[in-house]
This record gives sequence, C-alpha cells and structure tokens, in this order.
Amino acid sequence: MTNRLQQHHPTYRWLPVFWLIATVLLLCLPAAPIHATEPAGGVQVFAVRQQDANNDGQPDITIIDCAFATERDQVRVYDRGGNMVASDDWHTATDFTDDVWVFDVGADGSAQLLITFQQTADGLLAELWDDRDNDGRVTHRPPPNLQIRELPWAPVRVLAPDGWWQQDTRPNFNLQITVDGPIRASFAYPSFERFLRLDGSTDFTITVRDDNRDGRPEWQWVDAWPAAPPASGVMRVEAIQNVDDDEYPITGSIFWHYLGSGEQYTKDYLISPPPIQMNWDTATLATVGEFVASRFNDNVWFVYSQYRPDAGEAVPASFEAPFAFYDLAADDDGYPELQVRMVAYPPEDRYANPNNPHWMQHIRYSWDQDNATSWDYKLELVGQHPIDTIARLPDFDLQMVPYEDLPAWITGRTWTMDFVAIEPPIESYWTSEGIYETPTDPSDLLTYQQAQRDTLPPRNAALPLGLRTEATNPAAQHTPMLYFSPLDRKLHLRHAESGYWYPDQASAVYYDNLDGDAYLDQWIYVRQLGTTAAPRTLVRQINLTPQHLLYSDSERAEVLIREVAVPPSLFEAPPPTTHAEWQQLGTQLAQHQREFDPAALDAMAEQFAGATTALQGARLRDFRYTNAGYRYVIELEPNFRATGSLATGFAGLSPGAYLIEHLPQMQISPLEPPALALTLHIAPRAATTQHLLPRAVELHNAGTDDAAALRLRVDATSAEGTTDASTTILSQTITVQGKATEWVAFDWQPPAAGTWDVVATLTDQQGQTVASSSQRETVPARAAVTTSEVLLLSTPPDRWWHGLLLLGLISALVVVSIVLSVGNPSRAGRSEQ
Amino acid sequence: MNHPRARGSIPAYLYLLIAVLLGLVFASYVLLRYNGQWGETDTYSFARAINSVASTGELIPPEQLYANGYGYQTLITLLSSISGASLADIQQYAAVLLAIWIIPPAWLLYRELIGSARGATLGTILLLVQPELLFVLARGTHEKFTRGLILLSLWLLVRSLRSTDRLSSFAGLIICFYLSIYGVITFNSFLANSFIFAVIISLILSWLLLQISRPTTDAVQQISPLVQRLIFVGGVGLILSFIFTFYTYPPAQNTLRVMNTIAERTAALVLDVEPQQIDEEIFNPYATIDSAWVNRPAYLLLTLSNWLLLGISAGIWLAQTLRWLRHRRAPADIGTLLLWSFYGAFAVQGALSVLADLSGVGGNLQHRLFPSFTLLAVPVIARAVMQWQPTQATTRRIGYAGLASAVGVLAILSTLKATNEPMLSNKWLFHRADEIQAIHWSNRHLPEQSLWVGPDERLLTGYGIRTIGQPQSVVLDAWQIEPGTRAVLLSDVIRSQSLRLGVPLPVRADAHVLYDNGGSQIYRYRPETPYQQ
Repeated sequence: MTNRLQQHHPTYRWLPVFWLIATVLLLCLPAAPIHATEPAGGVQVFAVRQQDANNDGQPDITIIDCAFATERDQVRVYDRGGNMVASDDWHTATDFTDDVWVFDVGADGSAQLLITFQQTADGLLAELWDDRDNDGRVTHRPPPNLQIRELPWAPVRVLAPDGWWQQDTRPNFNLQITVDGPIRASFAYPSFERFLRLDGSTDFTITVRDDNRDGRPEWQWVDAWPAAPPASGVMRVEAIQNVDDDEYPITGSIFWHYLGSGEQYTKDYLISPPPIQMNWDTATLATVGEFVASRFNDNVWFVYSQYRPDAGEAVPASFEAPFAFYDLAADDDGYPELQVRMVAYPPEDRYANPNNPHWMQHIRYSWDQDNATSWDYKLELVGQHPIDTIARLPDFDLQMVPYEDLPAWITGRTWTMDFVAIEPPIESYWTSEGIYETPTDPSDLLTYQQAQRDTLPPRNAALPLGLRTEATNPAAQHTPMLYFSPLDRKLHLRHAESGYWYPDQASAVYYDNLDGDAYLDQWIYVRQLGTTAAPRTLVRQINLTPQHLLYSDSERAEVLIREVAVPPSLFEAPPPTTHAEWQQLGTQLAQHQREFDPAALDAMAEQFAGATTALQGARLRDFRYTNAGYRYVIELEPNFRATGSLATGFAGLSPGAYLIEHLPQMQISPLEPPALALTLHIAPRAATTQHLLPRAVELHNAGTDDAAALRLRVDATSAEGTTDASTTILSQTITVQGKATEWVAFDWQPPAAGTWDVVATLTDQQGQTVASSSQRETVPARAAVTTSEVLLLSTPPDRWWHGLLLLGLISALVVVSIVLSVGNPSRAGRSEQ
Repeated sequence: MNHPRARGSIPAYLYLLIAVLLGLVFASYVLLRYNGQWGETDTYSFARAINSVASTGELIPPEQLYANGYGYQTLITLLSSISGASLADIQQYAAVLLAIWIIPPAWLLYRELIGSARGATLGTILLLVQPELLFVLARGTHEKFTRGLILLSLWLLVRSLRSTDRLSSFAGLIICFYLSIYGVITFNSFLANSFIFAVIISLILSWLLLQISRPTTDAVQQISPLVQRLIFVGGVGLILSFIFTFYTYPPAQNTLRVMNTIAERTAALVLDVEPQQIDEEIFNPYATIDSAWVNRPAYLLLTLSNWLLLGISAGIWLAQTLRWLRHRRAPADIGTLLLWSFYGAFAVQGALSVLADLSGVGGNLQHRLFPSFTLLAVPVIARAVMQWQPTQATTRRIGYAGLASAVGVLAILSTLKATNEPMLSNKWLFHRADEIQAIHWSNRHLPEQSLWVGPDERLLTGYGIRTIGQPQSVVLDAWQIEPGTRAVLLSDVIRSQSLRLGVPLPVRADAHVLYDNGGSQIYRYRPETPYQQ
C-alpha cells in the first residue's frame, strides 16, 4: 500500500522520515498520566467540577459529586503532577499516576479514605490510608502540602511493577500488595487476628500474577507474617491458581479498579467483586480479598499451608494441600463437578503430631454426577501415603500432590473410606466445598491409624435425612471403587461393611455386608407405625446369599426363600477422575438406574425370578453367616402356611421358633433359647497392689438362639469397706452367639490391700441378670516404701554415707562461721570499729 | 566506707573464703547426694534452649527459644566452647558449682549495708541457709546469675553513692552499675523488671520517709542524693528494659503478648511472672504442698528457715520503721536507708505476689519472688544481730552459741529442702543408671514409638539433659500415659514412686516384656488393631 501511494503522490516519500521524527518527539515527551478510565460500576456520578487552587489557569482539584456509600458522597482528586486536564468527565480530568484521591462519605468535608498514587523506581504505587484513631475520618491536610495524620505509614500499599493499572480495557494483575495490621487479607485471618499488630511491619504480602497479561490473574499467593509463636499452626501461606485463566472481570469498582465496598474475602460464583474493600461506616479498610477465586470456579485449586515455603527448597505443604476443583463436564460454566480437599500431614508434623513419622492424608472427594450444580456423591478417605512429588509455583515449590495428578493419585491408592450419596428427601445439595457430612469422624480415623486408639472409631448414626452413607472397616484399606447393585439400583462403595439412610423421620434403611466380601448383602427397611400408645415396627429385609434371595415382611408375616444367585454388581467404576470417566459413569447410571421407593424391598426382590418357597404366617430374624454356611431364625405363627419347592421341610412343624441352617442343604431344628453361663477366671496366686495378674470372664451360650445386646459388668468391692470401697473394672455390651463361647479379658490393679469381692454380672436388654459369678480375692499389703529403701535407691549403696558426711560438714562450717563472726565481739570491735 | 583492720584480727578475705567454702561444700552435696544423676524441668528446658543457640549460632533460634533473655544460653555456650565440656556435663555438674559466684557480691553488699566484714559473713551464711534461694542456685538456670547480678548492682549503687567525691571512681561505678542492670535484663527480663519496679517502690518509700520525718541536715544530705539516684536508676532501668524487650530481644515481647488480661501483663511486669500452662482452672501453689511432701510437718520443718527469716526480719523492719515514724527521724546512714527501702519494696512485691497467686493471675509468684526478698531480708537480721551487744558475758555466750547451733541445724534442713530430699519429698529428682540404660535401649529398638517413663518428669528431664543435642528416635511420655503410648518402662524407682504417690502403673497384665536389665524392664502392650502391630 505504501509503495502504491508513493507512486501517486511525491509527499509520501517523506512519510518514513515523518514517522521517525514523530517517534523521537513522542519519546522525548514527558510520560503521560494514566487517566482514570475505570468504569465506575459501584459509583453513580452526578456532577464533576474543577478548581484552580493556585490560579495558574490549570485545574488542580477535580470534585466529583457521586454516590458510592450513601446517596450523596464526594470524591476530591488533587493533582500532584501538574497534569490535570480541564474536563467535566472525571475519566479525562483525573489520573491514577500522581493524584491524591480523597473519598468523602456523605460529602461533609471529611475524608474516610485517601489513596495517594505515585510513580516510584519500583513501579506505580498506590498507598491507601484509612482511619486509625477511631474518629471516623482520615485526618489530613490536602495537597499541595499533603499531610496524613493517622499513621506514619499506609496500612495497605499496592505496587504495580509494570507501571500501569490499566491499559485499554485490560486491568493489570501483576501486583505486589503489602498489608499491615488487622485487615483481613487471608482466608485464615480470623484464626490469627490476635497476633496482628499495626506496627509498621508487614503482616501480609500478597502477590498477584497475570503472566500473559490478558487482564485475568492466574495466580495469587498470600504470605502471612503474624507474630504468632513458631509452634502455632496458623496458615502462613495461601496460594491459589486459576488453571483455565478464566477469572471473571471485576465489577462494582469505586473509581479505581480494585476498590470496592464490603467485607467479603472470597469471591462468589460467576462474579469478581473489587478485592480491596472498604467499610465506609467505620472508615477502615476491611478486606484485601481474593484476586483469584479460591473455590468459586471450576478448574481452580489452592493451598493453605502452615509450613512456609522456602525459596531454595521445596517444603512439605501441610493442612489443605491442595484443595482442588475440576470441570469434569468440560463445560467451563464456572461451577465445578468435582471437589477434592486433601488435608495433608507431613511426617513429624509439628502442627499436628510431631511423633508421627508418616505422611497422613484426610481427603474429601465430592462430585456432581449429573451436572446439576448439586453434589451427588462423596468419598471421605483417610490413609498414610508418602508424598514425594513437587508442585511448582511461580516463586516457590511445595512438596505436595500436583493439582493435575490429584484425582488419579487418590483413586490409585488404598484408604479407609466413607461414602455418602445424596438421596431423597434432599433435592439439591450444594456448598462451595463439597459434601461435609460423614459418618466416621476423620480425626478418630487419623488417631486410629496412628495406633493411638485401641478400639474402632465410632460411627455417627445420626446424619441428616437424605444422606445415604456407607463405610469400610477402619482396620482395613482398599482402593476406592464403586459398584452398582442390581437389587436397589444404586451406586455403592466396594468393601463397605455397613451403611444407612433415613428417607424420612419415621423410617430407615440399613445396609450390611455380612459375609465380609466386597458387596453389601443385607437390606433392612424399618418403619415406625402405630400410635404413641401402641407403637409397632415394620421390618422388611432382604438377604442375598450365593444361592438364595431371602425376603421377609414383619407386617405381612411373610418370608420368601427364592432360589436365585443375584449378581453382586451390574458394573463397577472408580470415582471419576476425568471427563471421560465421569461421562462413562453417567452413561452407565442413566442406563441402569431405577428409582425404588425405599420401602419397596418386595419390588426389588421381584426383579429376580427363581423357584420360591413362600411362608405365610412367618417372620425371619438373626440372619448370619457361619463357618459352614448361613443360618437364620424363622418364627412360625399358629396359622402358618408353606408353599413352594422347600415347603415339605416345613410340613408338620408346630408354631414356634426354628433355626434354619443352610449347610448348604437346608436343615430345620427347633430353636433353643439362650442358656448363658459365666465363669470368672482369676489367677490362682494372689495379686498385690501395683502388680497385675491376668483375669478374664468366660461367657458360654448353650442354646442355639443368639443372645444379643447383653451388658457385661465386673465390679470389685472391698469386703472391709475401706476407701475406694467399690470400683467398676469393666462394663461393655456383648453378643454371645448360639452354641458359642466368648472371652473378655480385663486388667485391674487393686487400689488397696485387703479382701476384695470381684463380681461379674451379665444382664439382658431388659436389665434382668442372666448370669453372674463372684470370687473373693485377698490382696496382701505391700509395705510402703521405707526411708532406707529410698535412700538406697537414690544413691549408690556403697556411698550412702557421703551425703551424711557433707551435711555434717555444712552444719559444722556454718557453726564455725557464726562463731567467728559474732562470737568474739571485743576482738571484732578492735578490728573493725 | 573504709573497713580498717586492727592488728591481730582475722583478715576480711578469710571471712569471704569461709563463705565460699560453705558454698563449695553445698555444691558438693548436691552433686554427691545423687551421684550426679539428677535432673529437673527448668534445667532441662535451659539445656534445650542452650543447645538450640549453640547449634544454630543464633541468639533467637527458631526452636526451643527461651523468650525472656539470652544471657544464660550464651554464657553456657561460651563456657562449653572454652572448656570443651559437654552441655550435659555443664548443666548437670558445673551449673551448681557456678552458683558459688553469688557469694562475693553478696558478701560485698552486706559489708556495705551492715558495716563490717563479720556482719557480711554472718549475712552471707544466713543467705546460704535459705532453702528457696539454694534451690534456684542449684539448678542449671539463669537464676544464679540474675540473683548475683542484682546483688552486684546494689553493691555498685551503694558504693557509687559513697564515692561521689571521687569522679573517676564514681563514673566507673555508675557504668558498671548500669552494665549490671543490663546484664540482669539479658538473663531474664521479667526478673529484671521486678527488680526495677522494686527500685521504684523503694524510691517511693524513701521519699515518703523523707516527707514524714524531720531529717537532720546530715540525713537530708544522705537521703536526697539517694532519692535522686533512684529516680535515675528507675528511669534508665525502664528504658533499658524497653529497648531490650522491643528491639534487642523481641521474643520477650511475645511473652507479654500471649498473656490475656491486663492483670496478667501487669503481674508479669511488676512481679516477675511467666505465662502459665494451666489455662482453665486456677492453680493454687499452696495446695501442692500436700502432694509434694510426705507430710505437712516435714514441709514446715524443712522450710523453717523461710518462716524465721520472714518473721524476724519483718519484726525488725517494722520496729525500725515505727521508731523512725514516732521520732519523725530518718536514718542518717545511706546503707541503713537503702536496706530499709529495698526490704520494704520486696516485701510489698511479695505480698502482692501472694494475692496474685491466690487470684489465679500468677501461679508460682511467691516461689519466684521469695529468693529476691531473701537477698534483702538476710542483712536486716544480720545487722540486728551485729548490733545486739548484751552486757552480760554469759547471756552473750549463750545467745551466740544458740544462734550458731540453730543456724547449723537450719543449714541441714535447708539443704535437704533445696535438694528435694526424696526421703521427705515426693518430687524426686534422681535417676539410676539402669533406667538410663533401658531408655538407651528403647532409643535403638523402639524408633518413632512412645515410651512411658514414669508418673512425673523425673526421667524425661534426667535423660533429656544427659542426651541433649543427640538425636532421639524414641518419644518419651510421662505423667498420665498418652493414648498412643504402648511401651512402658518399669523400674524399682518407678515402682517405689508409684507406691509413694499412690498412682497405678499403666501396665496391662498380658503385656510383653521386651527388655530387662535387672533394675528396669520395658513392657509393650499387645496390639489391639492392625496399626498397632
């Protein structure tokens, strides 16, 4: 084009020279101010006027009548660079390069915030000054002789090393921010607020990075420097990455791009409020919040670490490291479909357990399977796996599982697990951090895995309605795997040993894995019926065995024995880690899922055909596996009726309870009620105080019926009625199965010598004593520690006299000294007076 | 004041030597009573703090920091470097010998306050039979230096007040005085603060006496400079303390910060209290007597010296005060006034500390402040004894003999108290070689596991001091056994301790015996879960 123009007009020959001169002139011109071009989303501007304070013909002050905190506010902008432009448009008139911005709430002439902008050698600097003497205003003298009489330093300083806040429509998110004093500048701030002082030293260093300068920050990390003791577990570093670089544009700014109102530290979904927020009521800077959303987005992750990274060496990241969100649906809709929170405890973690030599992890893994912004499933995992991978952050490295590897890292290892599925009556469950509720307290699991518990962690049996939970045995660890049961058509956790679900206030579904394989095999539906005065309980139950499906209904007094081998699962899949896995699981669920009424166990059973024996007027209970097969109890009513292939076995039976055993052939025998015997075993030789001898209780059930929920208690009572006259040695609930013997060991150190009666008692659920035994034991007195024993313990036997000799010497020296000092006053008087 | 010696009398330095000899014998007793095998909490804590300073080369190490001062850590690090002795040896053996250094400044101060070498010797001997002071001197902590430097500071103060006519001497004494004050601050800023506040209280008392009485011209000439000097001392002391706390050694600031209430912070500054670990319930230090000693009579007998010192010195001081008030006359002698005002100041602090203890603000204030009080109470008595001149020779002889005998007995009782004699105390400090051997074994064979080592900190501290700086793989657990601890050390001493304290041993009947050296055994519980294998 240029060549053609040059051909037509000779002037164009000088065009390159013109551009050269123009470029040189431009370079020689003083730097132009960065005009205030920020859209004032949080502001309504009414009028702009200007004043020429020094009568030089140029405006020095721009006064903006506006509303940002009340209906009528004012902002006064003072020019300090001699470059204020005469204009009634504040964007043109003012700049964020060298002006001083004074924010006056209520337009009463006071100032609630001052921002001084200046160009420094390090970049463009904004210093924010708020009220620090609690008078509701920033006491100051405006430019040209600016004086701010609140503090000698600004509590918040924002540095843009690039030298610009905004170019075109792109704000600069390469920022270095320092905060001094109790201003919320990190998520964990409330936990260490008491350690923060407004003392001129930096309490927070916030680094924001937008490496590709697209106006969307990718990284933010906060170094917190509270004056907390070194052993205090405060969060010293918080780092956030937006992996997709899709941060939402800031809206609601008050003139300057980063300034807004409020006290919200985190962002919300699909929105970015200005991160530096003022509380205009108190005239104080309230928050320096998130530039990068930590959790309200898909494909983001963050670390909240108690350990501070070292610039030279990767240190372990402790606590939430990482807390990650994934866009499994690949729709980039701002809402994650997978949330993974890993709480990592490095070996010898000074903030958790310095004595534990292993890495430990506690993980929450929730996902939204149908992309409806509602969490559907969650795994809670606890384990001990070494972490030797390094996550590279812009300025430092952390020893942690990198974001991109995290889901596969988890699903490829073994854990103790809880599983939670969202079921009716919950229609939608959404939090920014996944599904919180879990049946097993993770801290109990952690202490159990650290060998600090002798007993299995308890399970919380009172989770809210609609949370279907399952849990694996805490004593075992398994790779996370889900399976789809053909019976209830729901997703379950492989290796779960039990579970429950409360569909409503009056009913519950209990799941059990009785044979110890990887699949649930017992469903029990319980519903409270009747009135308060006459309550009754409906129990429906399904048991799956390798050969049979057993169904019973207590209301209809019906038992079905169906000869069918129900497969334990229709398909199996790991928790989704990628879009493909998530999609495949969704497809499989859509193909097989079917909604059953939780009470409709009969409908579930009807899915499977087979030769069926129906017992009318019968109830089933106490199903369990034995070494030879399985057994249960059938209670036959007077009018019972049996039909079907196994009916002949029930022919001629009288009403009553029968033990049915499948060995594998079915055998029926009258049920023998529990016949319990208790034997107290105390070692024949007597104990002494401070010494232990093994003791145990032997419990035997001679009947075939199981005796469940028995209370075993062992008490020791002093026959002499001395102090500590009675003490409970043991108290626990126990089940003694039919034709079985249980042993319970216990320890007891007699607190005093004398005769003690040790009594063991077994009571049933009604509190009736069903067995007991007692034994009298004489505990010989052990002589108290004598003075001579202590003397010989505390010094070598052949040198016990050393101390006595020295004590005598001390005493003798004291006596001699005193005699010399006061014993001869006449002589002393001569010498010293 | 000059101290001329008449021909034929005992030289003053011999008096001092006798006092030093007594200190040496006391130190020998501490070492030989337990054959050098002893330990206690504060000595162990300081061993860890010193090791941290020595290993990092930093005054403010990141771990095991002693927040109230760096003096003791640096001094022991220096001594260890110079002598080549291990930190453990210094803390366990040399620390008690270092306590002897307190005797010269005490003797010098008392000579100034009482007015004679004999009086100084009597005062020093009385000081060395005070159990609370002996206890803190015997330990491997800063206290022997803080107390000694306080004595030195007071001596320098008196000497400087009496040397105003010689400028070079005066200037030297003043410089040394403030260096001593700063020395106290570096060893323990809280103890230094309480001393500085004692200076301020003594200033107030002196000023009040000056106002109330009709001083003679001589007295005014004596007292006015003292009041003036105390103003300077208090002011400069506060400035030095401020600089130390907020600039030189910021950790001292943290100690203040973690205190929750204004009352706690005030107590910390005025009365020398450190943060208590007991958060929830109010700790009554007076209730621990029953648990710490075999019986109350034994405790009262062992602490008889305390009560006598308290009662007699208070009586003398009150009588003196009343006499001055009645006659509206201030003492003309600067030593007398200084002794009176400082005694009053420490007594006021002591009374406040008892109130603070009982209200729960403190915790062990009276224990911490009583040694300071002792430093000034002793010369009050010694001065009175020296002024007692009965005309009857028989009365004099009987009186002096009785005094010598009584103090001789008190010396034995106080030594037993200061060393927590296990025949009378339930807080045992000693350990045996077989116990150390057993822990050594567990250190090799129970890595990363916890070992219970007794119903109190006896072995935790004893073994900790002996192995300071060495890597430990076994984790020692004491007092109530922790849930994760599955190995238990039982020794003859622990069994006897358990009987004495009436606490059960945490051993299960079916536990395995892993180790037995005759005197000590290590038991291990059978595993109950897969993670306990």
